[in-house]
Amino acid sequence: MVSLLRNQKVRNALLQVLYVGSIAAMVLAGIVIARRNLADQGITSGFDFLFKSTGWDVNFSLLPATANDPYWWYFLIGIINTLFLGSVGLILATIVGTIVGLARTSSNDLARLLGRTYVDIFRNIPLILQVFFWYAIITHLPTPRSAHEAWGFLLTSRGLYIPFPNVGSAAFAAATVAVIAAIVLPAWLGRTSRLAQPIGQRRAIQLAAAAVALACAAIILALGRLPDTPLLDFPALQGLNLRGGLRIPPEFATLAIAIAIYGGSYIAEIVRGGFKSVGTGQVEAALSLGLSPWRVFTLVRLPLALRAMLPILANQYVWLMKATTMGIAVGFTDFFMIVALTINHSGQTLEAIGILMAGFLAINLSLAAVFNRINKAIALKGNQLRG
Amino acid sequence: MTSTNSTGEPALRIENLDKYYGTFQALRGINLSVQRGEKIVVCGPSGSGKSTMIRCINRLEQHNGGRIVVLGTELNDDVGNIDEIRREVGMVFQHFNLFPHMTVLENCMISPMIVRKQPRAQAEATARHYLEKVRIPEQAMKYPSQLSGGQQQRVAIARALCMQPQIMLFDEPTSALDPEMVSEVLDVMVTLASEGMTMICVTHEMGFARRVADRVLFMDGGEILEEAPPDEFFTSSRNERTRQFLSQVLGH
Repeated sequence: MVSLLRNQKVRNALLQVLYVGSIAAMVLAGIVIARRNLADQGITSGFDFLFKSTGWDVNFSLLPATANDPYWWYFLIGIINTLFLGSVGLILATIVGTIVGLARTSSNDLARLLGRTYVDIFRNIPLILQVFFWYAIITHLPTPRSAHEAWGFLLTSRGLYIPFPNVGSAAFAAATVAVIAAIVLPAWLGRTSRLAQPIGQRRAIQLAAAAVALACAAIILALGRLPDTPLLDFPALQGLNLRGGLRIPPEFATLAIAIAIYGGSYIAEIVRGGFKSVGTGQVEAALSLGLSPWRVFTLVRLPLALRAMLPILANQYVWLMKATTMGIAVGFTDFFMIVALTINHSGQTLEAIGILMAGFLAINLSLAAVFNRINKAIALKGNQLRG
Repeated sequence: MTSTNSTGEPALRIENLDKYYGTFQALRGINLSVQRGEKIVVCGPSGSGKSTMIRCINRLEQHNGGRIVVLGTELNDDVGNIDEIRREVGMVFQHFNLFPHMTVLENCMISPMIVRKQPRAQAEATARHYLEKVRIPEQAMKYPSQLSGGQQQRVAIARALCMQPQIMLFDEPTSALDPEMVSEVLDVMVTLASEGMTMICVTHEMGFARRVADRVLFMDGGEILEEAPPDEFFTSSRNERTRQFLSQVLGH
C-alpha cells in the first residue's frame, strides 16, 4: 500500500480524482442549497417563467413590445438592443480611434499633442463617470420648444431627432442589410480570390459586388416607400412635443457617445501601435520605387498595420461589447438591464443570470470567432518574420 | 526640368553636398560626378556617411546644402522632381525590405502598374522577365518570408529593375546575408554591371569592387577621402586611413 502511494502515476491520478471530486461536491452542494432556499421562499425554479407575460415596459426596443409580451420575447429585445448599441458604439469608437490614432502618429506637432491629450483624458476616467457626464449634458439640452436645429436635425433634452426616409420598417431593415453586404462582400471577395485573381480584376469584381448590393438597397427602399408621403420625414414641433423623423433617445445617445469616446481612446493606442510596428524599411522601399506617400499609406503601411492591430482590436471589441451593460446606469434597456428587471419582477435570479451569461458568451465568442477567421485569412504567409 | 537625355550631362552630379542630423554633420562638402554606365563602389568604416550619401540621391534623406542633379533633374523641394528621380533610380537595401503581405510577383508588379501605369499583363511579363534574370522564376507565387535571404535580396533587385531604372543604388546589399548566399547576389550584380547599368554600390565586397568598379571611393567622417580606379585603389593608395581600412577589410 505504501509502495503504491509512492508511485508517481498513482499519485497523479489520485490528485486528479480528489480535485474533480471536490469541485463536483461544491457544485452539487450549491445546487442543493439553492433549491432548498428557493423552495423556502416559495419560488419554483425552472424556465417556465419565460412564457409568462412580464407586466412591465421597456423604454427602447427595435421590435414591437408591450407589457403583455412574455419574458423570452423581452430577452430577445434585450439581446438585440445590446447588439445594436454595441455595433453603433464599436463603429463610432473605431472611427474616433482611427482618427485620433493617426493624429498621434502624424508628423504634425499640434495633431500629436491633441491626440495625446485626448487619449490621456478619456482613457483615464472610469467609463461610468463618462456615461454620467454625457447623460447630464444631453438631459440638460433645451426643451423641444427651443431645440437646437440644423439641416432638419433637432437636438433636445428628449433626444436627437433626425430626418428619416418614409419607408416601412421591414424594408428599412432589409435595405440596411443590403448596405452592410455592400461593405462586407467586397472585402470577402478580396480575400477569397487573393491568389487566383489578379489585383486589377479583383477590384472590378469587388466594385461590381458593392454596386449590386447598393442597387438592391435602393430598390428595396423605393419599393418599401410609404405611399403619398414626402421622401424624407422631417421632425417638427407639434404642441409641446416633436413629431416625425427618427428619435434617438437620450439614453441610447449617451451610451453610444460614451462607448465611442472611451473606446476610441483605447483603439487610438491600438492604431498607433499598429502603425509603429510597420518597419521603416518597407516604407522606404515603397518610396524608392516612386510610389506616392498616399499609395505608400494604402498599399504598404495600412495593410501591414491592420495585420498587427487586428488581434488586439478583437480583444478591445469584446471588451466594449461588455461595456454596453452600462445601460443600467442611465436606464437603457440593454440585455443586462432586462435581466436585472426580470430578477426584480420574477425572482428567477439563477435562471435569469444563467441566460445573461450564456447570452454574452454567445455574443462575444461569435465576435472573437469572426475576428479569428479574418485574422487567419490575412495573416502574413510563411514564418511571420518581417524582412 | 525634364531634360533627361542630354548626352553631355552625367547621370549624377553632386556638388558640395552637406547633410546634418541635428548638429552632427554627416556629410561634408561631397563632390561626385558619375557618368552613364559607370560603376562606383563606395567603401569606408561604419558611420562614415556612405549610406547617407546614396540615400540622399533618391531623397530618402534630405540634404541641407549643395546640389544633387540626377539625370539632368535637380533634386530639390519640388515634389514633381522627386517623383521623377525616384522613378528612374532603383534602390536595393541591406535588409531587402520586401513587402511581406504581397507575393514575390506582386512585389515586382505593384510599382510599374501604379507609377508607370502599365497594364497588368505587361507588368507581369516584365516581372517574370526580371525574376528569370535573377534566377528565381519558380518563386513568383511565394511570399518573401518563405524565401532565403539571398533569394529575397534577388527579388529586391528584380523589383527595382522592374521599374526599368537608369541608375541603381545598392546600400550594403550583402551585409545582412549568410556567407554562402553572398555570391548568388553578387553574381546578379556583376551581370547587371556587364549590361551597362549605372551603379553606385555601398559595399565591403572588395572582390566585387575589383571585378566591376570603374572607380572606388573611400569615405570617412562624412568626406570622400580617396577616389581611384580599383587597381590603383587597392595597390597604391596614398591615403593613410584608406590603407588602414583596407588592411582591416582584406586582412583575413
